[in-house]
Amino acid sequence: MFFLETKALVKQYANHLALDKASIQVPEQKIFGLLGPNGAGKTTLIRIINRITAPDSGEVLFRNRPLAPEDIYDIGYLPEERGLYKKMKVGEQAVYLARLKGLSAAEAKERLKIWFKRFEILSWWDKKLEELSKGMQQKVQFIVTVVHNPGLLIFDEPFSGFDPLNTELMKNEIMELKNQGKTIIFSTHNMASVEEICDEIALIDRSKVVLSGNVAEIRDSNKKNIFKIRTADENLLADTSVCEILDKEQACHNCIFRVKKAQDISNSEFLSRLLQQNEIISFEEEIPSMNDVFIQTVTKNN
Amino acid sequence: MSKIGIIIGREYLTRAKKKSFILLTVLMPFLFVGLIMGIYFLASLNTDKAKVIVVADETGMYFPVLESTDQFQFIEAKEGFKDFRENSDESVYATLFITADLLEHPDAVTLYSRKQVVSSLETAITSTLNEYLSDKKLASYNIPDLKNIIAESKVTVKMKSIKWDDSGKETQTSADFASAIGMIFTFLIYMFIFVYGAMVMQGVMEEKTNRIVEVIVSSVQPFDLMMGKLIGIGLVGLTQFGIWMLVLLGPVLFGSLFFADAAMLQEFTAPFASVNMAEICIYFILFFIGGYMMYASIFAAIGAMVDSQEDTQQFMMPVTIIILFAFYAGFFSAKNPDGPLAFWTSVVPLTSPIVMMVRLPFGVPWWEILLSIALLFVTVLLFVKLAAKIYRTGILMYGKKPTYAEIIKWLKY
Repeated sequence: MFFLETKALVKQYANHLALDKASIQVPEQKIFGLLGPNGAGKTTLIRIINRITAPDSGEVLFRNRPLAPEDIYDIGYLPEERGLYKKMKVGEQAVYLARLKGLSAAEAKERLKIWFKRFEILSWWDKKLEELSKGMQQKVQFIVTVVHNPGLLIFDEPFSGFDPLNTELMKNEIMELKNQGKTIIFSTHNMASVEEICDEIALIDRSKVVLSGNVAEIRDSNKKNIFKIRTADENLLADTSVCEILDKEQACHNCIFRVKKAQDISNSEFLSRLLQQNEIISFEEEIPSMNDVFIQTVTKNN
Repeated sequence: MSKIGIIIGREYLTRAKKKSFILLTVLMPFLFVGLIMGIYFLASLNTDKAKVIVVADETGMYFPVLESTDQFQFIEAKEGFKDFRENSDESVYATLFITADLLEHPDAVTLYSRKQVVSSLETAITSTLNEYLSDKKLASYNIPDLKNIIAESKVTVKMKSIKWDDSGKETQTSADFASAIGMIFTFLIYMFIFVYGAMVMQGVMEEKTNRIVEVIVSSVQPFDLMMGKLIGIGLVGLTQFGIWMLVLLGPVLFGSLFFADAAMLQEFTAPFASVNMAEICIYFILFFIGGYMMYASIFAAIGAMVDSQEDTQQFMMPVTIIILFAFYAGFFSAKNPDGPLAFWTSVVPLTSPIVMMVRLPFGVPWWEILLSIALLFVTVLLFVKLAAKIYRTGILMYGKKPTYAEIIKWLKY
């Protein structure tokens, strides 16, 4: 059972195919990472989920039924390119945007005041947006995304423009939303943050979903049989049928070797063979970072 | 529907609440009147001091006739003054030589100066001399009271123009007043279409370049957003018109408060009664709504197509030319409000809102008005529909400016 599911979405623009049978499954109450190089089709996919554009074919299931016009009130969307009215007062425009999301004026004001207080920007309520610092504007943007308490949140590059302190604050807010039971789609280029907060991902490249699944599983399945071995001696004695030494590094009194294990032997056999000839201090398999997975998948696809 | 209401509310209030809008709306009529009066006042001001004209009158008959005024001071030349070049005095503006009896030699008078003399001086001298000479000539006929006889024989015709309607009711008309009213309304509608159309374009571009549009269209249909903007800004225009009409017609409606004298009041309000102001105002509102919606939807589409102010030029140009053409057509229609130019341009939708305003005070057959309004509103529906298509695609497109071919493709989506 998925909270949101897209089935074979196709979107053709005048000169190029933006989405080619794109299917993703977003589980409930999870953080779903939507990855991909620029221009791969992420924004088109997000716009289709938001009902900003319609797909040429395929369908979107929301809570296991076709996405309906009223569902937009149950979605909060923070676009990559932020924007608010510069000349309008902060509070006034937050109320306006919340009303467009279906809240009554009084309710919007009440909820917004609570959020503004929490983000410590309540004193800016009557200021024009252009008087606020960029970080504060981002906070306002975040608040108007979540104020109508939607079940699905879509954040497109939510940390861009934030200093490390505010990035941490945002990260905590997103985790908090997850704990409250929200489902979150998170689009980013920052692979470190994907490893940190995403449960599942889909990687879109050249209009197609080329990789999807659980983050830990994906990293695991992309292992390359590469090990980091720390030895007490200067040399690592091993048969070439067992492993191939890629790199050697001197560290204090030890040596660190990066080796590629032969395909046909198991990890335990590999270790036992090494132990026969060497004094091993540590032994660790390299799990590829999401960054590696990303680059690898995209280059392979090209 | 309630969403459009929220959008209209924002578009209207953010503009109508602006101090600059309120100030401009209230002050504009006064500024306008003040400007005209200011120009008259400045034009009527005389230059610092009177210009000195030295008169060398050899006959001695004419110098006493030339009376000094605020502008010109005539002084007699010294005895034996022959050559004006001798006079190096900078304070002398010009020198007038009269060498013979002008009745016999009308060209025996010459005005010398270093600079080109003002025409009012030439007129002042010649008219004074002409009058003096013709009086003198009349006197030479020796007919008593001839001057009075001639004055009496001058007649001025005072014609009243009356128009009557089908019921035979007569109203006194004034062609000058009708064309003045027509021109004012034409200018107003022309200005409103431009000012508020441009405002729509700015608003669309602001939302697009701010990228706020992406947040908004994730909650409302692009069509609702565009219509909300068109209607909201249109209402700002109507508000401004309403306030100006109150300022303009206030004295007419509540004239008795300003004019104690009933006759004066009558004289002031009579021309207003000759044209049906209420009717014209209603038509103005109808044609404003039609003309504004027609052009503002084009402006909205242009705003959605481009990323920056500079890029608007290419698309604005054809629209500007059409509106300007309509304005000039209206201007010339005022001279012949029933001619073919006036007829066609007041029926064709692109020009009709502007031109029809000129014709209305002169009276237009009802079927022409009906045809014009019907065509206008059909065009409005068409334009809004097409603009909505361009708008929907354009607001989410960034980067390069679309070509006309691409825009036609957007229309087909």
